[in-house]
Amino acid sequence: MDKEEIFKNLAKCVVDGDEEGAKKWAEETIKNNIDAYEAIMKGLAEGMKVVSELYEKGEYYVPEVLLSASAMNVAVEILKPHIKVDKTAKPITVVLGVVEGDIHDIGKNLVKIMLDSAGFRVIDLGKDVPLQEFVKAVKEHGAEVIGMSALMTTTMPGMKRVVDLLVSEGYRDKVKIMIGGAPTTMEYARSIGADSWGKDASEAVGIVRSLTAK
Amino acid sequence: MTPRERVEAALSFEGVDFVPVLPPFQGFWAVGVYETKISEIFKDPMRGAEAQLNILNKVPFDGLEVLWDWLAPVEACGCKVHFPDRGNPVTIDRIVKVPEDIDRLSMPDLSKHSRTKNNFEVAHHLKKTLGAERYVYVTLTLPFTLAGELRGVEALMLDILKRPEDVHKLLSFATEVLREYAKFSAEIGVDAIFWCDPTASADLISPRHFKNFVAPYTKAILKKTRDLGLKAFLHICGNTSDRLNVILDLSPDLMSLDTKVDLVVAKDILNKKVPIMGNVSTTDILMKKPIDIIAASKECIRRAGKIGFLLGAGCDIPIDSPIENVKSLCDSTKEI
Repeated sequence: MDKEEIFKNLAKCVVDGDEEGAKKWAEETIKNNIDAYEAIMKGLAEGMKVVSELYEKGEYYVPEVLLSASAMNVAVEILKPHIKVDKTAKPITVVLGVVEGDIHDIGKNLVKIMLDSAGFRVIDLGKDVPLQEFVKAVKEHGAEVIGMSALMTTTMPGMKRVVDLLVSEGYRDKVKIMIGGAPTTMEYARSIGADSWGKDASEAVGIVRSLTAK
Repeated sequence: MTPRERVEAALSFEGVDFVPVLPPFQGFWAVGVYETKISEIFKDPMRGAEAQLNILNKVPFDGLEVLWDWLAPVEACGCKVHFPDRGNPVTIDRIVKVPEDIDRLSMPDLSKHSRTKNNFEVAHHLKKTLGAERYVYVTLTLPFTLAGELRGVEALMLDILKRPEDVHKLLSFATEVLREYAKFSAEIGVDAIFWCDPTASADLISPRHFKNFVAPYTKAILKKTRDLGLKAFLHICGNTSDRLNVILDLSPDLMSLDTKVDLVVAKDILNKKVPIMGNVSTTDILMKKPIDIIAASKECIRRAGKIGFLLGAGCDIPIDSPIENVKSLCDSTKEI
């Protein structure tokens, strides 16, 4: 079968949140000796890009995005063992987390889905993350970008403390910082010394790309 | 006008001397002003009541919540909850881990759940002390948000698409539980129940799902509340502009709007049928200066008008907000 046809079907299954279809077309990919990495990037990731656009336009909401991600993951699990690993290429690494005191992680999880599908390496610290952990993870993984989120007005100031920690440890110029979450604004991002702000998960991929453009 | 008369007039679209101010949700913030550890009030509930009485001497709200621990039903239903020293309680273990668990849920006996009992004792005390002069209400979660806590919000989101029948079953259970809470509220004789549904926000679900999974159960709860002789208020976080037409059908006795909603738009849609309140930015209340809060409050009143409008924050007054900023909400209405 034509590989373009398979990529189109993989993308469609992601957009439709069709887990069974995603499984079927991932298996077709392997059966037809098509490059697994190409299938992820040109099939699944393209589908996720459409999902992101639909989310931004207000046609998709959280349930639809989660179902699409779930379909994508079904296919990724099948394709992953077949990816030929290129040891020389190091993907851009992003450390993600919801700051200390805040357990609202759906927004952060959507950002992770978008970044994963665009081929970034995501270190997900989870929710209610002690602030020092962000700094530790950046150093440990040599991350280029930190993404922090908070849903509660009261936990937002934790983001500023992470920025301050990076400054005091002499690490601020080695990493770009993006923030997000319902109570945050561009104005707030600037005021705490972050590099960028996203209004929702659909902007994450573009922001990481522009922050890391050489 | 007394504070109570002012609120009642606004709720009936009658003239007021000043626009009334409801926080709308001040409980945890007020506790935080007087306690270094907010978790203390779960050991000694009356200290929570004292904090509300003390704060009224500094910030003369026209009405206030006398029960603010609005997620107590989550624990009563069997979830494990964590009480941080400085913050709202958070659900850490879900009772509905797999959809089959829904069939194993049983109605909690509220008279045996100590946190619920304490909350209502505090509310009763505050109602007796303040009720003659001020408008008093209890704050509770609506079924959709309760269902999200019992199941986990992300799991609930997927269930909506994968197994809608199970979601309806869970929502029916949540509705039954909350009817019981409404009965308790009526027994202590508060004026209203402020029903909150953050998980039904436009940040999470579509207007279509709102109509199918939120509206019917909200309608049942609002009706029950009114049948018990109480006013039924509604608060939904985030931008609710795209679902205000459904909210108009539900016709709560008051719609509380988050900061993202344009009050002109809301007034236009809910025009003359549902009084509105809002929506000074909670971020501003936490971080800016009194002069900014006064300006923002006046802008809200300018946009919404003085009839059928109550001034308040867009959501909970954040813990650690400066008293002067919160007081500015009340000060601003005297200048218009």
